Parts: sequence; C-alpha cells; structure tokens
Amino acid sequence: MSFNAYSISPLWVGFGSTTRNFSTAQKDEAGKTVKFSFNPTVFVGTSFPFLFSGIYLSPAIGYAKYSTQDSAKRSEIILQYHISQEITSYFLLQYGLSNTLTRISGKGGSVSLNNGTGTATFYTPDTAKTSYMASLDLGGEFIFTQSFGTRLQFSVDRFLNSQSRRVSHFVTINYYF
Amino acid sequence: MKKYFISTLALLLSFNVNAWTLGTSNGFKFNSSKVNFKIAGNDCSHAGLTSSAIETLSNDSNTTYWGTAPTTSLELSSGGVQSSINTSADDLTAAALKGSDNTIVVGCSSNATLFSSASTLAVGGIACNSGICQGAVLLNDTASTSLATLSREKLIATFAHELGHALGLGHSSAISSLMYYSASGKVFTSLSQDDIDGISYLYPSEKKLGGLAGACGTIDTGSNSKNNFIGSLLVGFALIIAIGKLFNNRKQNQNT
Repeated sequence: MSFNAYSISPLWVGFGSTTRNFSTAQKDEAGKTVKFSFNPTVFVGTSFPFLFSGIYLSPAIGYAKYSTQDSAKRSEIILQYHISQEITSYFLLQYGLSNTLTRISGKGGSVSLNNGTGTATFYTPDTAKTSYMASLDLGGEFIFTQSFGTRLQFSVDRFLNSQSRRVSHFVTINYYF
Repeated sequence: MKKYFISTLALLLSFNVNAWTLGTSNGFKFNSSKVNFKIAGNDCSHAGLTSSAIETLSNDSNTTYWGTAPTTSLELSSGGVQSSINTSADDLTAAALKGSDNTIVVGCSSNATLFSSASTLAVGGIACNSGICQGAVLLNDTASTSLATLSREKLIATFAHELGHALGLGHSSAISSLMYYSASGKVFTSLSQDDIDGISYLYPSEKKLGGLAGACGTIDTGSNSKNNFIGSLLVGFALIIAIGKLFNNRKQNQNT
C-alpha cells in the first residue's frame, strides 16, 4: 500500500498509551524508574501533502487520561504539529513539535495521613490548573494494511531547559479511514 | 471473545497513584514561581553541617528533585548565606519571618519543642499573611539528631521533602513519592509522577507558545481552566486544518 494523500484524508484514529518522564520518574520504593505505564490515549489526525513529494503535514490531537486515586486527577490534551516523510511504502518518519496541556485537578476535601509521629490533616484541591509544555518529537509510523498501522513516538519535553528536559513516549495502533 | 479482550485490557492498566496533597486548607503557595533560599548563618554543630554545606544541600535538592519537573514554572535559587540570620532556637514561624516575601529561610535549630522526637530529622512549612508568603526549612540540630548518620542521598531527599512542604505540598499516600511521610527503607532517585503533579498544580508552567496552541485567554486557574483547555483544543486544531487546506488548494491549483 502506498501512503498517498491529496486531500484531508486519510483521517486516522489511534488508540494506545502515553508514558511520561521515561526512565526518570521514580515508580517504587526500590528506586526504579518508569519505563512503561499504560495510560489510555486516543489520537485523531490527518495528513496533507506539503511542499515536496513524499512529505506531509500531519497534525493530530490526542487525549490521555491517567489513573488516579484520592481524588487528585490528571489528563492531557496533546496537540501535535508533525511532518511525515515517506521512507518506504510502509514506513513514515515523523518529526515536529507538540504542545501538551496538562490539567490537574481534585474534588476538594481533606485527608488524614501519617506524619511520622501520628497523623495530620492534608488537603486536596477543589479547582483545576493547566500546565503547558512544548516538546520536540521524533517517531515512526508502520503501515501494515490499508486500514491499520502502528505509531511509536518519542518526545523530548521542555527541550529548551537542560535541568527539566525529559523524555516521553507514545505508542498507538491506528485505523485509517 | 469480547469479554476476554476487555479483561485483558483491564489487566494491562497501570494504576498510577496520584495521591499528592496540599499542606494547608488555603492552598498556601508562593505568589511567584521564582523562589529564593536564604541560608541562616549558624552551623548545624550536632548534625555536622556548616551553613555553606547547607547551601550546597539546598542547591542539590533543587537540581535532583524540584528543579527537574518539566510541567512546572518553579525556579529555586540561592540568595546565599546570610550571617545576620540565626535560626538556632527558632520554630518554623520564627524562622520564616526572618525572610522576605517569596523566600524560604533554611537553617538549623535545636528547639526542643520543635524537635521533641529524635526521629524528626527536619521540618518545613509555608505561611501567607496579607499576600506575603514566607517559608522555612529547619534541620534538627539537637543533641539527639541522627542527621549526621544519613547518607548523602537520604540527606538530600530529606531536605527536598521538607522543601516540598515549604513550597506548599502536603504528604502523599504513594510510597514511591518523595512526599511520602517516611524515608525508612526507601531508595531515593528522583521525583515520582505524583510529586511532579503536585508541584505542577501549585506552580504550573505557563503558556509560552502563545498562538501556536491556539489558546486565547488567560493563564488557566480556577473555574476558567476547563473552558480554556477546550478552547486551546478547538482553536488550535482549526488553525492547523486551515493551514493544511491552504497548502492543499495551492498544490491542486498548480497541478491544473
């Protein structure tokens, strides 16, 4: 199958997972860091021919939801502004920028937690805050059939700041309309 | 088959525990994301730390922990050792008041009431009054302190935990979190996602790509957050579609 588009098609939908702070966020008391965690993510995207043959502008929007407890919640909207470059008929190299809007919220109230000498009352927020982050992305899309493919992408988050620069990855299975 | 597929999918779910809390019911935090340390001039004689070493400890806790969160605007910097500040007998309130707005006073204290238990290695907190927010981190410098026996890794983590309180965070129920109440038996390497979420809530990184994200509006706080969130989505995507259509139409016109 040749990936060839001259209009707002193919439209694609992808379902998969987002892992943030790859190999840096601590995940257990033994000091291990996160390599992969399943956080349901949905993407919708499209492609347009762009300037040269085999080059496409491929914007996409994604939504990721993170499992929570104790009433604190987190979700993301990911806006991707990618270039897709046809390497073979079945493989596209993708690169570009993305912007992530992270929404963190809670439903308010208080919780009693151990403080070492007894318990103390702490509080969960009753409002939401949104944090913005820009990333540099690099990935690839493997197209298996006319309708299905898979995408693996790495993002360098906050790429301009050497101290807080982090890597995330996305993997999705895509359906092309 | 569908039942088994859903069950398998459920097994794959990783329950990322988001269990961070705020330290106060008012959600006290510094008004500016640029927060300054002021290191007290008195040494921790029992804990074996000079004021200069405490400044290094403060900087290390920032570079190892709080300064590494990608979704926060928090910037911690040291204002140096202030010989005029002495916290040797202070509790948290007294120490905090020796700093100015948006400042965390860091020092040693042998206050017996504050450190009535040898297991309390350090304390931290923040208070805001009439719009001025001041914080403090005090290290246990009583005769019974066990700070001197800590490894460098644990010392930095202990300090960073108390610094989290001084920035406005409460404890977390997630064992992997820096803000979990106990350091016992734990290996510390970095912030957990739970810690990152907490500090990002208090000090979210602001919209820097104005226009590119399609967000028209103010920095999201409070009740407008959801509307601006959706607004970013719709306006940004519409912009992308419009640009794509423009290129597509130009290409088709060239081909005809």
